[in-house]
Amino acid sequence: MSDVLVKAEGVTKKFCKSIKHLMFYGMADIGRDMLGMSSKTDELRSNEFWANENISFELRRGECLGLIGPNGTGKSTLLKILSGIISPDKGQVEIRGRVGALIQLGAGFHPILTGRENIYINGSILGFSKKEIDKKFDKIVDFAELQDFIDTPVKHYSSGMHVRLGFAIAAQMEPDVLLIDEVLAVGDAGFRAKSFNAITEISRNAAVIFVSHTMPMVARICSKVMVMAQGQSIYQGEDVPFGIEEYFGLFQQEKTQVIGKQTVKLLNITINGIADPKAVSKIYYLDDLVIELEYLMEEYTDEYSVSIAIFDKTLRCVAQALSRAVGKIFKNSNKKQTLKIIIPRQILNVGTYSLSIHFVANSSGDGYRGDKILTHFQAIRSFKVGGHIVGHAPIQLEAHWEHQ
Amino acid sequence: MKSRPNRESERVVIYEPNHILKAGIRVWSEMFYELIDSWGLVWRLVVRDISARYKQSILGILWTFLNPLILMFTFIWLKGTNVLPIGETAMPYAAFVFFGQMVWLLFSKGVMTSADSLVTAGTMLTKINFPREVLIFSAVGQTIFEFLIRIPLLLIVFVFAGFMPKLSILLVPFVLLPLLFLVIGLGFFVSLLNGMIRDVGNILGIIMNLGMFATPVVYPAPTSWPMSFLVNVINPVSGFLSAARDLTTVGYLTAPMIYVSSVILSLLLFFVGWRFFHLVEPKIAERI
Repeated sequence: MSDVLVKAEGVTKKFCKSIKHLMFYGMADIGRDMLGMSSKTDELRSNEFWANENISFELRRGECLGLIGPNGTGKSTLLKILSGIISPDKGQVEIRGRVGALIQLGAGFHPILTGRENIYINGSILGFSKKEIDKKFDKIVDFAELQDFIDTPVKHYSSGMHVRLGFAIAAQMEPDVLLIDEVLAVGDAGFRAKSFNAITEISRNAAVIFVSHTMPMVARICSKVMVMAQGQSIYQGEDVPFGIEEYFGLFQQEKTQVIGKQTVKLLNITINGIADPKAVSKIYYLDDLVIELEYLMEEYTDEYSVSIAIFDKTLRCVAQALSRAVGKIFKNSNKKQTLKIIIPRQILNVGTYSLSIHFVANSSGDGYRGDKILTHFQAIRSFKVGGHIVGHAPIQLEAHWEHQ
Repeated sequence: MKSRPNRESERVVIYEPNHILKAGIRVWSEMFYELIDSWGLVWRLVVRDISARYKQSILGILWTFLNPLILMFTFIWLKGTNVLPIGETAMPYAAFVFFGQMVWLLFSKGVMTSADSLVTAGTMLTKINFPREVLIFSAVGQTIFEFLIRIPLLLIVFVFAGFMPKLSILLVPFVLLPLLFLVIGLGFFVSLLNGMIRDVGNILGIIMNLGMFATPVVYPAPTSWPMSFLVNVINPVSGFLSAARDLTTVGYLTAPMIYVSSVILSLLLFFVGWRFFHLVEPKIAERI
């Protein structure tokens, strides 16, 4: 079960930026073809650029390759080449077995026709006979959960229903090679979970290439990853978390923002002793994380509390610490103050995180109600947890394992 | 070389630059098998387009009758008032015009629907891999369907005009079969050109409007030089139309040589067009 199903060698594709050139080049190429001369495909003419440059990889049955990269870096182009919609300008693609491509769900749906009619049309576009579709029809409808609307014209479907129907048809194809573009993002949470289960199931018996911007999903279902930037592959391998880190490294850091009443002036901040805002502090799993703050506060409030929040690269808040939660309320001395926050044996997974700090005025009331945010320093600094990644959850709990 | 999912799952496909050119003579068998494989899809698309077209209309299929009927009455009137001095025709004029219209529309609508077929396929073309020839065949399929449903109306026109066709009218479909090759062959070329330059579709509309008058649709085939040469010999549609009319009225072909040369031209155009389409179409998908 480990035969190579997809093999790409030096795949290169160029595109044209201007439509006038495009028409002209198109005619020139066609003219050459007609005369039986091979088109010169390996050099750029003016106004052309490489959409894919020298991409090589191999994928076996049972593997799932995550294709990630910023917008416009040639991921979809690569999928189109792999599915044979466009041909490469250089290099070679070899594909073994039946290919299912989900580059755009519902491409080929006719808006006026009903869901039932469209299942048959789409099925035959994907290469099925009527008999095969007959057999799979009920499964498709069940999967799409469209029993009540199967005889409604597709143009009255919501975009989620559209996606569900399209995916349901493709999921029943039992392909050897499955190419999926970022198409599932439209569905609701339930359907997304369902489709990911379906993909996982298919990938057990097929080679799957999965384009996505949803990194947690990539981390969950991919066994390999390729990071693309400007048409080139900048990382590929089985270290999926590393690839995801590389992907996030391609983007600008989140900008520091100061929100709220500017009653707090942050003078200095150090993370594990490093104060230089340009240097990134690096710590390891189960190290202590020590944050020291030095600040001035106006006489706006007598008492206040402080909280910190830690965000990962997807801007998801993965951990918080609130001083009030442990009953720590600080008195405002109206002078320069310092605060040392120690988080012992930190359990964040490997990666880069950004830190936000809130200063909150304390109300005399019960609980947190009535507390006012004084100042909120968002993404004030970032730090790195180094080492070897284990697992893909942002928090890796330190458990006691008792084995007998 | 398409990766259309196939029954045999252990099939290997290779995509590389100019892979169709490199295939050489082998490409013909490939093209042929691909077409046989996708026949079901052609049928599906024909059914799809027809049912979609008539679904949101009250008159539905009646629209197919309206066009040739209006034209028929227009020319009956023009002839009757002697605005257009059209000589004697072999069958009553109403039947003559309607019959001519049916053959002409089979040709002109067929070519024009195929011309738009790649453009209207839209996302299907850029997101799904399937043999694109299917689009041309299904476009022509629609036109054939329209031709077929006009037949009962033609018979009604025959009855009203008091015309009794020869039994050899049953051979007309066979005589017109090569015309379909002409339509598809032209369709291959114009659909690609229209995919790249949209002017082609507009120009084609004008050519078809004029073309009807360069074909003996509303007047009998001219017999005197140079018109006879221009209309009957240069224009391949005339050969088919005249042959079909001959079979309906006299029972044999009055100009078999012209008919045969039209057939040869049609087949030639079909195969050259098919080969051209197969070669160029991958370049169109990324440019449409």
